Amino acid sequence: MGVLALVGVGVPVSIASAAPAPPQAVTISSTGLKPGAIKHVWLIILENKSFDATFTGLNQNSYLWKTLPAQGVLLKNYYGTGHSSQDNYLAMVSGQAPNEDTQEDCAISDKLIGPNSDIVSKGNLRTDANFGQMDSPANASQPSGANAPLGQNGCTYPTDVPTLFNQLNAAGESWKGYAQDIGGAQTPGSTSFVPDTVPNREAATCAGPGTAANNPDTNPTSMSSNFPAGVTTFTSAQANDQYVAKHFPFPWFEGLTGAVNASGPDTPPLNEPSNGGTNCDANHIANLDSPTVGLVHDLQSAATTPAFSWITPNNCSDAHDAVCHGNNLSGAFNSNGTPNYNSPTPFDPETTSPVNFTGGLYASDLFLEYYIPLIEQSPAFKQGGLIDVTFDEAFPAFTYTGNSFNNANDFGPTSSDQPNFTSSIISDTAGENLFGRNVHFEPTGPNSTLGTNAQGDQLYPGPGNNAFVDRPPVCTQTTPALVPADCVPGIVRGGAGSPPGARTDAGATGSSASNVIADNSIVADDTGRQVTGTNIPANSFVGAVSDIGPNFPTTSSGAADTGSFQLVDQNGNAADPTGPVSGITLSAEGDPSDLAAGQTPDPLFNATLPTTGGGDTGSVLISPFIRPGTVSDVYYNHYSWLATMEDIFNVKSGHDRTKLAAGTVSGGLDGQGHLGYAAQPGLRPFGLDVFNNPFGGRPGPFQLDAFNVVQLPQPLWQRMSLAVATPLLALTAGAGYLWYLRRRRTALSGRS
Amino acid sequence: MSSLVRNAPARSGPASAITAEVRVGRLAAFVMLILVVLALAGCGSAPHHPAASKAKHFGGYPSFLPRNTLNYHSDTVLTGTVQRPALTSQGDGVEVKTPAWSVLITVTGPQVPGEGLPYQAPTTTCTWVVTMSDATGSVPVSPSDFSSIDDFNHVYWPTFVAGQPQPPKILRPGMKLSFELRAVEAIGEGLMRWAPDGNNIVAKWDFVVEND
Repeated sequence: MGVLALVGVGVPVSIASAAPAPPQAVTISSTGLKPGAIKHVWLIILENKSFDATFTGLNQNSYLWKTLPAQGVLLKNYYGTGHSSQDNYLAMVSGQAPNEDTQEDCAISDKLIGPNSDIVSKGNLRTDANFGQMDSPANASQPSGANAPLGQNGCTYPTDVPTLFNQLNAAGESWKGYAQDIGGAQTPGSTSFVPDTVPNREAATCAGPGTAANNPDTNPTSMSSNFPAGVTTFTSAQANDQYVAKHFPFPWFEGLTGAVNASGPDTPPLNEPSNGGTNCDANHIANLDSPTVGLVHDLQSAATTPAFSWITPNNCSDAHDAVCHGNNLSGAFNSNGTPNYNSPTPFDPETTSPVNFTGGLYASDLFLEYYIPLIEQSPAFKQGGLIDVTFDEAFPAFTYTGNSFNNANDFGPTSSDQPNFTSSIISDTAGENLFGRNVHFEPTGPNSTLGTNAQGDQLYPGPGNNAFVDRPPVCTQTTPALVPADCVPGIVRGGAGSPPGARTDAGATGSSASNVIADNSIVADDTGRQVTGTNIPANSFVGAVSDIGPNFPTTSSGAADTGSFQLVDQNGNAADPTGPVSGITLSAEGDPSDLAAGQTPDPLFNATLPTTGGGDTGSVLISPFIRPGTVSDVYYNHYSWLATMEDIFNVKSGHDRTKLAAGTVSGGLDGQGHLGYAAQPGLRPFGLDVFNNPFGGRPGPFQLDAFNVVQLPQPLWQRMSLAVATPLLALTAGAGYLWYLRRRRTALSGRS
Repeated sequence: MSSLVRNAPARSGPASAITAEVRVGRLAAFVMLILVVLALAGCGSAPHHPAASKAKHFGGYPSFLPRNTLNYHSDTVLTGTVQRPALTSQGDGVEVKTPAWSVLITVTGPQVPGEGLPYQAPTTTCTWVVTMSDATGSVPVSPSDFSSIDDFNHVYWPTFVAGQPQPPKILRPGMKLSFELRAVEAIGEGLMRWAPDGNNIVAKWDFVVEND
């Protein structure tokens, strides 16, 4: 088939023509789209759910599970890059790999990771896979040369680590970071925006944690103590301010905030927005619901809508908290379930009173149901918009820590998910596509490496941070003299820790009439623990666990799911209590191969498998360039996402070519505009499997031809839009009328 | 066009018929013009779904979005009446309407213990959670008004799970309640049914009892 290549020229999908249109082609970018096709992106990032938890009906979040995929494409294999949260956010905007402090959500101190000189700057991407990565100087004191423990690394990157937002600045593209609750948390019943409800909680530059005096170089905010008045936590939600800085990437880069060094003058940010102002002013870091700079205000016209909008819901609306500390927006809907955009304050859902405090995917569904219709109806979305709903990392599908309401094994699609180390490792899995091949690994970076001892035990947490797998007690105990030389004290545990000790569930109840013990504290990985207590028969164990929800507590101290388990004997047969049960004790768990007295085998124990990533979260994208109801199985991760955004906005065309420690802002590390691990050789950004309607508008057929995406001829009726067909019809009718008049006039003249 | 019309000589008889035709033509052209303007004004937007959420200051939804996805709640909350009981899936809400009141009711479950055990019994203990809210009048509440039926037409009468607070006998406007029901049922398909007067079923929830 011949191809008429219209290099760089847009081809509208609706073409009126009597003759069949020849195939047409445009030069494609890596995404399969012609440059500039997508003009506006909204990223909504949610928290801590696996694909199984979100997209299989497990948590009854129908809007995200069913409705949104019906409008766009569902990426079934989209992976977080690590555990826990913060390292994922930072990787998304910079391509930087984790260190133990960012993996632990900067729980100790907001200090600088190191100076620019600690960026790996020698060589290039081909000679050093870590080229451009920040190598934590704290690693120097570690036997492994990496894996410095929590508190020693810091969380803020120095000025020479660029972000996507620096690249957008240089490319002349506008952007804004929206977050619920920053700079003021709307209170139920208020009729106007209430600024600064919790002073000094996010008063640092770019909504960083602490007071305005926070300075990662000289005066870093303590994240765990010495809180300002009215602040009870920086890393968790408060009832009057559910924002958490760990979920907002902007304040953690001095390339955006600038720096005041201990011994020198101000170091400015790498650059500032092309449309004026500064990176951290109110026009770039905004409260989501602000009437003057918030999302709804900006959606009024395409001109006021940023090219890129980063949207961080608060710790309730992002599905993080199982039971919300504050408003979950459940009062922001009419009785028929549609969003109420008018009461009591227009377009400010946090001024409503919540009717329950349920969090998790129930709360995130409320958030999405409220805001996504607004975005979809906005002028900017219709002019080449892209809505992207994704998660930072995956948690196991089974009820593990309480913010997934139901057990995976309650439901057919995920019946194979069991609470054991295998399914836990899957939750930690990495994934990306290199040179066209889906792979289950990602670069670890210089800080959170992987490695084994002679027995094959994993020594370090890796990007997955051992979040869901316990490690050998011999490596996790705290007495230094007993720690083998090949175990690194204090770090090998990562995010999980030692096998659980004995636990008393005082609220458990039961009776001789049933082998089911009601216990809202029970979670799936308690299966197999020995049970003791009044009227519990000897040698009784936790059988299958059922957690079901969501429940709808009316206070923030309620339970979001109802738990129970079957009491079984050592043969797995159901066992009835001998009388009323009120409170039980569960045995300690231990290494299956080395159980101490009173311990039962820990189902989450395995020392030999690496924890390589952040797990499969899935992702949904909606755009005129995406066919509704489609699916992609290609492996992507946060690094792929960053490369995609960089390509969509063609940041390599930007003007900032100032040489940094590694690469440049506009050229990235590879000269193609890719930062950090977004520049991995062969890394595939979202392609035509995602942007599967590359000409936009009404979906039509296309094929790939060498370096072009080719639009194939369509039937006339498909190609003719109303906007084109109606004027044509009018012209035809007008011409016919003129022809008729001329004939009549000729006839009359002849008669006279 | 207008100059042609102006220059046309005024005549009687056939000429007046021509004038009428000209008027018809003018009208046709005007209609076409209106159509063009309307088409251009509506370009790219689907007609607004009557029940879809309405956002002031914004346009309608773009035409490529599937229409049936724009009113998310329309397919999840059914209306159930004595004349036409609602049939839905467990976990979904039903707005039950009677001449005296309406209420939003959801049945979730069953919660089933014993999954994954070496031996799967043909029956198992099933627990459902019933939630009721948004009452517009005095809604009778009684666990005995719930029954379930399986594939073999066996009818079960679940009982109120002991240990939880007794629900009120009447749910009044502004009140919400949640309680659990339990029955031992055969594995397989089933329907939980609610007949608030004890006789007439108004809503049914499909479920599966599964213990493997």
